[in-house]
Amino acid sequence: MFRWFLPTLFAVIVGLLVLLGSLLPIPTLASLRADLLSGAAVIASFAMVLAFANVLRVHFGRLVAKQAKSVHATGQRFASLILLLSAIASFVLVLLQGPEGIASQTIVEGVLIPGQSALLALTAVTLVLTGARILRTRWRASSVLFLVVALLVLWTTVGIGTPSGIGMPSGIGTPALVYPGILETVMRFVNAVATGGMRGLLLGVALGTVITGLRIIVGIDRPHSGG
Amino acid sequence: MADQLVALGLVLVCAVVFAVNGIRHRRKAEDTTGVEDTTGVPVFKAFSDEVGRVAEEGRTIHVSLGSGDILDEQGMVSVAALHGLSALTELSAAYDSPPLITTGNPTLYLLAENQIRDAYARLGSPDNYRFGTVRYVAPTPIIYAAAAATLAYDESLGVNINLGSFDQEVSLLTHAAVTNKVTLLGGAASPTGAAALYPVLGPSQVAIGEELFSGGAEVIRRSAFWAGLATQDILRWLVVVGIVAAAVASLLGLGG
Amino acid sequence: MIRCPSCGTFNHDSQRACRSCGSALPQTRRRCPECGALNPVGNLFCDRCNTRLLDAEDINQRPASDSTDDDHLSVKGISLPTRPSTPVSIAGTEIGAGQQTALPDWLAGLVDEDTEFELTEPALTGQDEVDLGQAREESASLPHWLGGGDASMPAPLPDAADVAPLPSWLAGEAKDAEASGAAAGDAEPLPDWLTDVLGPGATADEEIPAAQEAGVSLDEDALSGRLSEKPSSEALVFAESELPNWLAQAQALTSDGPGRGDVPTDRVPVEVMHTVPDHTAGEEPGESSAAVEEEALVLPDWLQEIVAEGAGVAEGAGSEQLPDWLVELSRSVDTEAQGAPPAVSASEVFLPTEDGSAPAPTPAPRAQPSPRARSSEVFEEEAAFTDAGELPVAAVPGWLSDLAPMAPGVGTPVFVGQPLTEGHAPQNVGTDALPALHEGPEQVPEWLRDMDLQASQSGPAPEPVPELGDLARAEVPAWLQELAPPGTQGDVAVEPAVVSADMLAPADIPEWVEALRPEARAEGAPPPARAIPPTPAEPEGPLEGLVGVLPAVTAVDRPVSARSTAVIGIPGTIVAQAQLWQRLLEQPRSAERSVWYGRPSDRKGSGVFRWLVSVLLVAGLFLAFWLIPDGVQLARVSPTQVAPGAQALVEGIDRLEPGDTIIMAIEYSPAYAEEMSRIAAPILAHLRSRQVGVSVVSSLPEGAGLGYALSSSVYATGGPQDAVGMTSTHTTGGDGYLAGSASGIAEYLAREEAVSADRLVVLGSEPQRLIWWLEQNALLGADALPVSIATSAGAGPLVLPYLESSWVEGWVAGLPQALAYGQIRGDGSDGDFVRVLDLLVLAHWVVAALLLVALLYTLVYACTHHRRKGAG
Repeated sequence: MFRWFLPTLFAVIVGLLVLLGSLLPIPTLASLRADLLSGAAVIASFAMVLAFANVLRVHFGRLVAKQAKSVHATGQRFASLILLLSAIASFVLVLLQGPEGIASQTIVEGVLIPGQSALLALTAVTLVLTGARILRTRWRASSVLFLVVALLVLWTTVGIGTPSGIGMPSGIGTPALVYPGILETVMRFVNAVATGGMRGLLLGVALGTVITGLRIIVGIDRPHSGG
Repeated sequence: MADQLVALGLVLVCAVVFAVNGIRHRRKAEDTTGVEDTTGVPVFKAFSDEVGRVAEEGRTIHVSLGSGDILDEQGMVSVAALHGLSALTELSAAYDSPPLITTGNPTLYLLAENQIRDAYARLGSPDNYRFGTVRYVAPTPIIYAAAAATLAYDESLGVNINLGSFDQEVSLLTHAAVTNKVTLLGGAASPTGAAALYPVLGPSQVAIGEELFSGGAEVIRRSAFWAGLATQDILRWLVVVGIVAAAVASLLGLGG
Repeated sequence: MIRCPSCGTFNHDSQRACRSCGSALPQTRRRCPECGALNPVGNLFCDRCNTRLLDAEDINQRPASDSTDDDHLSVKGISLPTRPSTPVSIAGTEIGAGQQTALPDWLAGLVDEDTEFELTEPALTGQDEVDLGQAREESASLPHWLGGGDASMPAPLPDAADVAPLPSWLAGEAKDAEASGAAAGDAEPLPDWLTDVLGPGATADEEIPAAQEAGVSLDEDALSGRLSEKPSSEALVFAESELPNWLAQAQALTSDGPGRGDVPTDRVPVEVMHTVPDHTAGEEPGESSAAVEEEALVLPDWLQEIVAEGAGVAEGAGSEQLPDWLVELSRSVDTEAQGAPPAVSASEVFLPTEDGSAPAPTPAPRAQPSPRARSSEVFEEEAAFTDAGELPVAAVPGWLSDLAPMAPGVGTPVFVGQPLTEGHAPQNVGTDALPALHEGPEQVPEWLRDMDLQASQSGPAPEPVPELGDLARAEVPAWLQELAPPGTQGDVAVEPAVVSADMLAPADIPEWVEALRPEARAEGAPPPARAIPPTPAEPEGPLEGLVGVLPAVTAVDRPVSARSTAVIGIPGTIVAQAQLWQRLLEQPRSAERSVWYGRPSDRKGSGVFRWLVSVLLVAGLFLAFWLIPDGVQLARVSPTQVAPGAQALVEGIDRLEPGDTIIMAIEYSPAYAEEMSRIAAPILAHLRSRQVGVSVVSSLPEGAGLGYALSSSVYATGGPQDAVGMTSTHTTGGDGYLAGSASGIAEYLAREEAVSADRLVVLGSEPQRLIWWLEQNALLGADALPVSIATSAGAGPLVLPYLESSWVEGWVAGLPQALAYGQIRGDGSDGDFVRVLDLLVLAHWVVAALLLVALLYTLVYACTHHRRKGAG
């Protein structure tokens, strides 16, 4: 009973209070909602601490575990060692100086931003590769349509102009065709379809989110209790 | 305030429709031994097959749940992903071939660990849970994707399941899986994540957007989940009707 | 696959060490050195190429057994209980070595497992050898007398040193006998006849002819010769402790007597211990019966008469201690005794008195013909003796000569388990045939002299076989009583076993076993078919009406009206899960996988293409950055066409007055920091030119740090703390960090500092966080702040509806629009932006070209592959 009943009861009560506090213009509920959300943020922060400890433990375990002597295993252990040292150093430095400190700024500007930017740029490469691979693995009309739309978007997102002197109109992207407005019309149609599709996707996700949240608030779904 | 009341009304409508569908499906489940129709999303059905094959091959199942925070809208996407993985966790515990679950969010890490621990406990072998089954990798999505992708090179993965809140960074995971000949399954709620998964998995092997929420009904087979799907269908039609009506009204110059 | 016991990683069968942790793996397969096939570890030869996998020396090397013999009970023999060498606990009681709770003292002393029974090996006939071999196999651990009688097998010789001490009553009797005139020294006196056999100075500790106890008649000469020379090899000796009661008693009485002279030892009464039926000892009942018969025939007449007289000895109080065979024997010949000396009082001979004193010398009990094997020499001498017509005087032991006639009713020796059949009855021994029991003829008692030995020698008529009911009950040990059939547990003694098939009592065979008894059939006839009981027809179901589908099984008798009273409520979730499991386990494994792997078929092509993409995108763009001439501008954009929202943003910031406060929300991750810093740079420069204060907040934990980094890049004059107008808002304890996502934003917007701000500028790359700010600000209604958005190129299309709504006053999405913002503002900061924009344009074209190449390549490859398939 205490395994699932009390957590479920607590989840139901808190969910209802937060929902009503968001929807009803009652100051008491609003303040209660704010407090509950603040408490949830604290719990999430504690979860962050636990997750950080999990990272340290996993890599520490990999560092001390007996592994077969190989280059790969040695590389793994070296990476785990670097991760452990950097994690602990960052934690200590930011804890001492705060986010505006020199150490924090150096870490952010020197490590985080370049590293993540590089990874984000890498996604461009992987997206190109997967896009190119689609026809080799799935020879269908939908795959061809996918590629065509991708090409159109790439062509028209950033305008490319002709060298000066030729006198061709520029700004849209490609040199004008027989009918200058065709490409613009096509792109508007593509943008509308793509935008509409994304909106529909997000609406469906929103509906699913609402129903899933309702299930949790009512107590039917208990992810917190394993039910 | 008007917006709040409108929102409250929408929530109440959702709750009423959900309750009605819940009762209807409950009665239907009692009459027909609880076996419902399929949702038409084949990716969740493939989980059990893949678990068995991977267990026989002696490889590992990697499940990446993304970076969806429980405190925001992405949290429900992650919860829905966990529902879809419940059968996978049960089978993995039964085979004693636990999956390797990686998350990019601390609260999601706790939820996933709790789920797989419960799976072992339900099978009567809670001590068989091995530490390290669920790992928190990184807080930001791009770093999480890059770190999780390295598992395809380090571990002997048999299946890579990307199910949860993803954006375009999931392409790093798919690329690593393809390069290392790892089977891919997945689903994403965001359009960018779906766009990254679609070229690799195809339309019938990926769950996009709302399909992610059908995992619970497909796997767990509870009437509550079927009622939720039915409620989503009804509300979707209501939204469609509303959009069309608003568009017609704006064309006619009736609306603002 | 082998799972590593340490880390759980799966490894291949042939691996010796785990590939993950390096720990040793239990080897389950062995790889053939010739063909490389994996074979089970126990294989000697390869299954594929038949190559030898293990050398001879590897086979013989076997790990020593961890268990030692001392840990287990050493079981000898077949079904007799043995005493464990080490103390063991049985039913809570500890049984030490040398103890056996179930056996009486007299038997316990004989069942010492350390006792070695040596078998004599006289010259045997062929049948005797066979019997001997069988008997040895069956009763190797049994004492000779206990293992059943066999005339062809001499009894084994026990070690005198391993003999258990005498029982108390016997020991007491022996002590009394000793006190009453036993020979000096510690040894207990032996009967004279036995003393003559063993030689002077023989004591009770010496080995005593086992044949006596076994009932084997021994020739004195043979015995004396054998025992004196090889008492342990040829003669049958007894340990003094194994003496039966009557014999020990007798020796106690006659220990001081003079030597008895030669006495035909084959006529020496011996105790036949047949407590175990012959068939349990592995012998055929007929064999022992024949032995008994044979032995019975050789009983001297004078002894038989004595026994016959003793048959009338009543079983008194101490009769339970009298060997039953002797009691029974006395009883059996009681009626046939003719002029036989009075029966020996068994109580006087066998039993100690109540006070432990030695009883009065009494005649020795009559002996029974022993069924034990005898040597051929003994038979010859017996025949000679028989033919002689008279017994030598020296063959009669002295104690026998002193024996008074037994009173009828005293316990008489009885064959236990050895019923006497017709012809096996002890023959009457005429007194005339009795030899002199003493050295001098004058010592032969008159009753013995009066015996008509001639009549016995001429072949007395066989005595009728006593009925089973006439035989006294033998003393059955407790452990043997446990083997008694049900219903007979209360009986102290069991019925003597039938020694022949005809006399075997019908066993209590269950009916189902009787039904399985094979019927005799003619030679060559086929075996009868097993009768199948008729089964009723199936009453219902798909097999309705069929007969014999399922056998009639009545394993459990359950009333028709029986109903399960236990009501188990199973939750629906459990049922659902069970149904799920059932469905998952029952569904067939599809041959075709339902999902696609996503693996490229052409490995070489994918690798080349990957390198091509990487080189073009990375190296090519870097080179283009340096190689493109300055005068060349690839991107020519119209600001208003590219950035429709930039104009409103410029106008909005231009309306700000010096000293106003701007809330700047940083909602992008470090991955987008580079892009967003370039996008936000013209906006921040515009704000700085207006001399407004900026408060940096963020719903991301790293947002505050990114804000400082942004400000330092824009306000390059100093650090973040020196930025003009750039301040950080401390809200919930963090440096501008708003916890709680949308709720945190709403809570912040409700504060005084937020309400008093003049504008809200959101810099973000995540659509969801942008929407939070817009929605929460819109909920403020009249107090809502004017919002301006600067977002990345990727998030722009996703939030375009919000950007084009009335909630937003001015927006830019992506670097081109930021360039347009600068052009519209006319701040002249578009130099680097143009160059970056050209690179971006070039990258877009490269990617588009790559996709086009991939499309064409796939088309060509697919057509070629299809053509080859068609041709093939």
